[in-house]
Amino acid sequence: MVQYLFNGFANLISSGSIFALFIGVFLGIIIGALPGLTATMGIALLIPFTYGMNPAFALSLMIGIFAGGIYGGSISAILLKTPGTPAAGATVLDGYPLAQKGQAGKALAISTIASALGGLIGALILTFLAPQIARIAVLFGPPEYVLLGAYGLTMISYVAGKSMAKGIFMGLLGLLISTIGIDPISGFPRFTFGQLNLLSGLSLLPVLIGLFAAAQAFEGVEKHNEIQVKQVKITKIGISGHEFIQILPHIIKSAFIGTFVGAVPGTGTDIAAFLSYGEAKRSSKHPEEFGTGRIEGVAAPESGNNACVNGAMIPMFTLGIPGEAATAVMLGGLMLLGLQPGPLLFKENPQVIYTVFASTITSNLLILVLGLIGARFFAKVLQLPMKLITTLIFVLAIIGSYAMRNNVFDVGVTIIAGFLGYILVKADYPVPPVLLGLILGPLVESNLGRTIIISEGNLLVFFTRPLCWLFWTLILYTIISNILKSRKTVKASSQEAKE
Amino acid sequence: MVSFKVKWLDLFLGLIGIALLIGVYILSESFPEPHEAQLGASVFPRIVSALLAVVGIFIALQSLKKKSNAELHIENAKMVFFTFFILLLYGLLVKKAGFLILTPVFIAVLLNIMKYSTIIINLLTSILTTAGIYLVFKIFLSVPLPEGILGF
Repeated sequence: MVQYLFNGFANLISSGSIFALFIGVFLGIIIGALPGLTATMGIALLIPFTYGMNPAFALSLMIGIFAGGIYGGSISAILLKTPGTPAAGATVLDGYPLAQKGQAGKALAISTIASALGGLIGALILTFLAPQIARIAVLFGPPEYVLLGAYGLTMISYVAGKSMAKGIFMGLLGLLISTIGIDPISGFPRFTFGQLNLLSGLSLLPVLIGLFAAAQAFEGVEKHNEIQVKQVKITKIGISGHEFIQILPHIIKSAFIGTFVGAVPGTGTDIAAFLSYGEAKRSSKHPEEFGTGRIEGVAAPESGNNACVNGAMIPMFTLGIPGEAATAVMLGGLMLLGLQPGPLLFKENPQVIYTVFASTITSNLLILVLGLIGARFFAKVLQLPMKLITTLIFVLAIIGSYAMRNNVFDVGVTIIAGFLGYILVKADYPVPPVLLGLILGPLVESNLGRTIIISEGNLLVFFTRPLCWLFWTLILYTIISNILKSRKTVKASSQEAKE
Repeated sequence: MVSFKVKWLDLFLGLIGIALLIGVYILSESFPEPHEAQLGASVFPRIVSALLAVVGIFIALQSLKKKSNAELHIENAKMVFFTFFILLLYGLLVKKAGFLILTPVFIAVLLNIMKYSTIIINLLTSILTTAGIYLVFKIFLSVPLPEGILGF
């Protein structure tokens, strides 16, 4: 495996993917730093332009945006008191007070070092753990894939947001949309209304760009007259050796928390950041000083959220199931590159996958270099006019959806998906479940068809294979724990209402 | 600003769920019958649409039962709807008219309605932005952009 990893590094350099990674991290930091723009949106906008690229090159670009975007959110959290991404929500708590004390440079340096080290630890865990999981996953047959898809669909409960029912509704809508086009078993065209454009189904990419990029741009138009907050001035960027030793244990601990949280499908970088912050505060000798500008309060969430980026890629690469929005979009990107996510990726494309691992490791080193050298430049990015950026997102969304098949139909799908996504999110109908349904629908249906053919219609096959039982356990655990959680939430909110 | 009650949207989507269920059942009537021990083309969409209708009705009933007054607000609604309209026009006409002709117009109109700057600056920005995008995507990345009447 180490040999494969060395080859991955060699390929990263020889194929020019390192250049893509650099561009990705650079753009990611800018996107992440700008409040309102997310790494997910950045990846969604980028995917159409990666079509036809070398897969390792394209994936390095996406990984760079993901990692850079999560780190970039801390810049605006520290300087503007506004997290650039939800992942930087916990960084505001101590990052901004530290900046207000005249130590903005120190806060930025800590967030950079913590993000890079936390991400590096997460990337190393991903590199060594993922192949072991893939080795087991390669034993899957059609029944296991059906249950894997079903397990993936239970992730809707995690990305559902405020209302579980609305999340399930959107997931089912995605599943129903995935049935448009030629039936995978009989080859019969379904719900196409004679439209050639629908024969291969509603393309994933235009829907994805609409829901995650155009919808955000509509939000930008709505809020175009919001005044941009004035930022804190940057002082000397750097920390002392003593301060580094003080934050190092928190960085390491948070990296493990973040990676674990990321590897559990359905969580996310924001949860990883808050859990890491909470643990740093709990284990501190001065918990009362958290919230006033403690350096550990900046280091812990930043290490946790960047480690989580790598943890989130474990189920995506090994099982082909996305746990949250950014990995769901990346999964769409993988499929468009002609790669089938899941265990076979390790068997059939080891060169690509190990170049990806080399990318995840290197992305953190780039964050360190770019973050420390370019902090003042990235701070200037915060002054970019949001009105112009909103307009640019619209144009990129249109040319992105057009570029794939040179088809105006896809452009129309993007615009309508974007507008509907914008309205539905306002009414608490989350959009990531639509994507889960769209991606997992064909996986479940085609493997269900195969299972029925292989077992000659005997559905008991789902209960006679040991790996199926593993999935039944996971599915039941997810459903029961979510029912208990939502009951607890209802109880708490009714108690609050009584008070 | 435009506001409307979320429960009306919930009710509307519940009805959409029922309409989709009926539509799927009617359309899938014409799907071929499966051979023995084969999953028919109609089975999966029928199960999903039935579940969709059930969940849709559940959301609608729950929303009506709660008598919730939660509202959905769209600030600058006129501008948002106008943007949707011009975006549709831009998207539908860009292939025929061409990227280089329609994009500066779209950008200039959108910047103007958001009051980005003076008309001259908005025009200049739109031309420079279009040129920048063309250079990066068409020249450097060889991404196919709609050529339209200009032919490039």
